[in-house]
Amino acid sequence: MSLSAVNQTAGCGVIHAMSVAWIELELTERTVWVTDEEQLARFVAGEYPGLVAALSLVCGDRSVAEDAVQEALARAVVAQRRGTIDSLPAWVRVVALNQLRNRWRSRSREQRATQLLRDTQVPPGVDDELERSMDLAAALASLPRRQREALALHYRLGLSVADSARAMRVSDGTVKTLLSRARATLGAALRDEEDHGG
Amino acid sequence: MAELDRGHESEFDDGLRASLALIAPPATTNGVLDAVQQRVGRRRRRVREAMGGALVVLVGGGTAAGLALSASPQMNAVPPVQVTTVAPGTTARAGSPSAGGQDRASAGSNFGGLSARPLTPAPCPTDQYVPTMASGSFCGPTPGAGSGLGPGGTCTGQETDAPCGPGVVSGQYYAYTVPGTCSGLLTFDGRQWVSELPPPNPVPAFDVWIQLSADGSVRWIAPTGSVGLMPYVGQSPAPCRG
Repeated sequence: MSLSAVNQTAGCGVIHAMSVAWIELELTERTVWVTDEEQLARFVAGEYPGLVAALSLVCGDRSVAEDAVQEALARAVVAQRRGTIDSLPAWVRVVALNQLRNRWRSRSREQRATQLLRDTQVPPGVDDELERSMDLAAALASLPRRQREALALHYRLGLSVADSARAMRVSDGTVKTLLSRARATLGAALRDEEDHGG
Repeated sequence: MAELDRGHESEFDDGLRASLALIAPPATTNGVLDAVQQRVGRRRRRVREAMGGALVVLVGGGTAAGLALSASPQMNAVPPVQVTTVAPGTTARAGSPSAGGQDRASAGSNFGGLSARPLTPAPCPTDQYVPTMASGSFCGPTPGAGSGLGPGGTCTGQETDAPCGPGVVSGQYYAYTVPGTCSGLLTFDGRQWVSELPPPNPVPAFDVWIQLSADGSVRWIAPTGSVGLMPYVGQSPAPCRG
């Protein structure tokens, strides 16, 4: 039997399917064996709480933010094996933000999420600071998504303008503009609340 | 926007930070590592399921390939042939290598009732005579079974001829059958080697092209991927992971 005849009976199409699957399996399996678990644990202990908090400001739902960050971490475990991650925190921020953006593609989901921010209620008897925060939450919900992202990364997560820009994959100037507009909107909204709320 | 620079941060900024911290307090980390590992595990299971179906198919198609190539284990003895992509049981279109991409896609999408994932591989060059993963997926002739005396053509260590026995010529590809054991141990060029990536659980022996490079390193390549081998110097073999 000639090689050409062999190839015609070898089912290469399916072999290719296995190729993809096998390689992924190898990558995943090997990653589980050799992943720098210490690095992962360090990230969870150090960066995870703040990142989830920041992203919950973006999407208005803490469980959604947790889901996005955990999924990004799971992907990082695989990507680490491929050697494509220079900085785990920076990589996870980008992927988690992308996860959220994918959810935003459904307009109704975005509306529901921002409604969650607006609906944040002030419990009776709380102090002024918390009440002001609730006003801020409502004002935050009125911001465009990209302004919320910039605000959350810079003010809640504490990233520099440059790092926020890298996470959002935009220029530094864009982040500065987004932050400036967000601050202006929030400032005006909070002043209004003070004026009307007394 | 200069007011955003660190030196010009205002009380408003500080208040904003404090308020945002109140609205969104830090998340707890309890169970996060487990949750992440579970997600990795789910990914692994999905891949296994996809791979399981494909392996069944490979057994049927790969046997014929092994028989045909066992007579010509060296790659340079094989006439250059474009790998076509006709699924077993379908009518082969001899002499139509340019149709490979279409065949590959149709074979993968509905083959023998298996629910393989949709395929979108990059087309292989029509003159790809040497196995390569350069495009991200395997291109080149389908490897056949090795010439070893063990089951399926695996090497036993008793062979006197290359590629199991000594005499392997560097740079040449040899048809070779990897035993698929968890230890990753195999015999090549009269020496023992250990896989850099042995399977976590035993898998059926599978056929690859194997090559000794000029720098002395060894690597096999096949539609299942490409893996390097290290000289075996008595290191503990990897256990199966159950």
